[in-house]
Amino acid sequence: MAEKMELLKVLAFVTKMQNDAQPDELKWVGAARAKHWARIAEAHERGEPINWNSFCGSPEIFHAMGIPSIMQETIGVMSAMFPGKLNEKYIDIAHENLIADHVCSTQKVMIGAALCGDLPPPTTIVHAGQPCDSTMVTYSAISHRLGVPLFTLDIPGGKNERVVQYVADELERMVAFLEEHTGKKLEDDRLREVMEYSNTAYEYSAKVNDLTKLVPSPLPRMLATPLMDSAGTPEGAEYYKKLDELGRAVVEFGKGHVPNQKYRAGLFSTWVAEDAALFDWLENDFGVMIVNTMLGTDTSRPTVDLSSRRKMMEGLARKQINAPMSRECWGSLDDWFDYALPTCRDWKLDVVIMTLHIGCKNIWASQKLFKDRLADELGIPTLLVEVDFCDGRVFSSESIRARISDFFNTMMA
Amino acid sequence: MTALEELVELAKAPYNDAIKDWKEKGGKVVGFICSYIPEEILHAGGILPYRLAPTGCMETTEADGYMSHFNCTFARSCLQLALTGEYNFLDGIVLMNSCDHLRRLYDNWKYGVGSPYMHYMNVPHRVGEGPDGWYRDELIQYKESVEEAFGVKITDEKLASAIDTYNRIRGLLKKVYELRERDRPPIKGSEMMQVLVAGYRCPTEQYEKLLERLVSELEKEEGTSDYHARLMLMGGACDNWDFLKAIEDTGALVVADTLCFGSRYFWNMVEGDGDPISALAKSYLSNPSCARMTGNEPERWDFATQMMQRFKVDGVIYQRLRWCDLWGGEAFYVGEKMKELGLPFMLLEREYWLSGEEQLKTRVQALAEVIEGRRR
Repeated sequence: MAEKMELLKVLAFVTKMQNDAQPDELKWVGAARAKHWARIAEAHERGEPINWNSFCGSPEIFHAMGIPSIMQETIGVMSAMFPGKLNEKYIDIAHENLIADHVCSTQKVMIGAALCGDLPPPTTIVHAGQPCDSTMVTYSAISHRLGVPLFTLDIPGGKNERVVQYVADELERMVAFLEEHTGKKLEDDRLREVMEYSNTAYEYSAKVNDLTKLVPSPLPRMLATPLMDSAGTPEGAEYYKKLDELGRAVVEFGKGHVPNQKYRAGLFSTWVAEDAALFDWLENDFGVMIVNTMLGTDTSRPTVDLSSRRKMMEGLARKQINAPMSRECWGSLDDWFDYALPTCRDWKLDVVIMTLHIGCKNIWASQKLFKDRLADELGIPTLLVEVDFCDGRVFSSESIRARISDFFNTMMA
Repeated sequence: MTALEELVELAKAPYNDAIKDWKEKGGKVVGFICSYIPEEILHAGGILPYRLAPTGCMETTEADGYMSHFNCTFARSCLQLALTGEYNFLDGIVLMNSCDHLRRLYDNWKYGVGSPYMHYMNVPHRVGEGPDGWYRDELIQYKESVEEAFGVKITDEKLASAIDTYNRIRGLLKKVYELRERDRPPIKGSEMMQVLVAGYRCPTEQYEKLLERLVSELEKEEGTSDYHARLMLMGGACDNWDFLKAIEDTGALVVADTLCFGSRYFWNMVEGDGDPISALAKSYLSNPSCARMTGNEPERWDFATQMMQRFKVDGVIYQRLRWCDLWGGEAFYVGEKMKELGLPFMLLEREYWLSGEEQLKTRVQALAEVIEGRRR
């Protein structure tokens, strides 16, 4: 049997190394991520409570309670991006334990890493009941196997006030669960302090979004927003402040991030973690600039009212139900259209790329209606391409690139 | 005709004579999917609840244009029948957030097919104080939407009466199941599935009478001992009796299940005094659950082991539809528990329609050999 790997230490080490390698003036780029993993590794060393949370959750409450929390899907993505093919090892273990091969690979990594002991069991698991069946079933299953208390944050589809109030209540129930199992308390003043950082980050994030609407776009693509982990921290706020400064400087310089931007593209789904060079290739070979992404463009999150705990919970509830990917996948297709159509207009998109990740069954089931609506109403073509987000063995990089090439050489020619 | 023959006949066609007759008399029919949508509400509104089970669908060419080959063939088959007009007799549909596939079935139906009445329910994914209240409110909205769309008034008295009617049916179905506990069960699993599907395809009062006759007739049956293994089915949606028949053609007998089209549908009564909506909400959420409900694995497992013991099961087939992530993840839990239990177990991935029949039979025979080996 292979030697056990202390995955938390590895992730803390790698993210620190990546950040250290940056010149001083760019250290803010990876600071939030490096600090996040360092915090987790240190808490683990000290034997302090650690939580696992799922994708689509707002991290502010964990920060306010002083509970380091690992969003498991990030391990799926990072293990696929880093050398060593750890993702493949973990996914194979999940399959050996009867997890179906079509369950989302990000969560199969969690299952495999936990089963082989590379990932130590947490104190608690909190998962949001969104954005897909795979999230719904895997967190619950692993909690029973590890004997770890589980809380499912129930999120109905829809975005009306009834849903907001219900989710705000659910967040309070989540806090009660965490308090019971970790011994940590949520103090209102500390939550307000965290939310101030969060508000700052989101205010700058909105400015950054506006910058990416410019033609040419001054900023590089954002495949995933660091807010998923770092909203509510000083470094999360600093990241977006600096990004805004950078974007404005590039605008003043009068250039776009990519020279010869030919097509402005929206990536309305996941990507291919193992092929980090895919988007450079798209830029260089086809002049395709990704200016809006499902996981990297955080929208519809108004500044949270800090006047009372209830108001803060309601604000967090709004963030939760509008979280990237939940926004697209969890409600009705009409909800998605309500977001996607203005997005196409505001970002002046020429094309939408919809990677059909094998785990995203709801996106697969939306493909025709989505593609037709964009074409009929906006005249925008949609490239559909089959991928597996975190397992490059399912669809090869070559086949994915061939499909993209065909599209841009024929459809867009 | 025996009651069983009549029920089998009713099950055969999605649009049978019973429904045609109901429609000719001016009756309304509303389709639904999933066992978290109480039929009682439609029944109380004088509407025939029709659970969608795409019997006979063997290909999904039209539906594949909307969904994809990575969506389950149950959802695609429902859409296929809707797109090709097989469900044109429906006056409406009620769907819910059962799973990723069925959530998008609603959207595809809405835009690709259309219907005079469409209602969508958001059912919680766990039980507890908050979700229970949410679900109750969802039932109220569902009731009000039926009232508005069909111009009917669903009073508490009508609801209470509907609950009584469906409880009697649950009781009768349970009686039939109890007969399968015998060493010589008087009905095969494949026949039982047709009895269950027939219930979704005829007026409730007709079904109740047929079930009463069925119980009476089966009680007198000697039953069969001509089988080599008593099997139980677990897993996701399965209404395809041909699948069960293929299993039983190997000489095994399906004597029990924990399926949503099977025992989970009727095992528990709707109970509670006073407000009938509250009674429905409490009962439907506390029924043996689907894998869509998180944290409930131990309760599901308890129900499964009770059924295994009660029906003296020799082995278990855990079947699930390809691309179903919910039951594809649940297998992780069940597989471990089955290992601990030590009962022969087989996991089968299948499509909605029966395909690869010979491979299926070979695998069931292999399971039977394991069971036989344990006996020696």
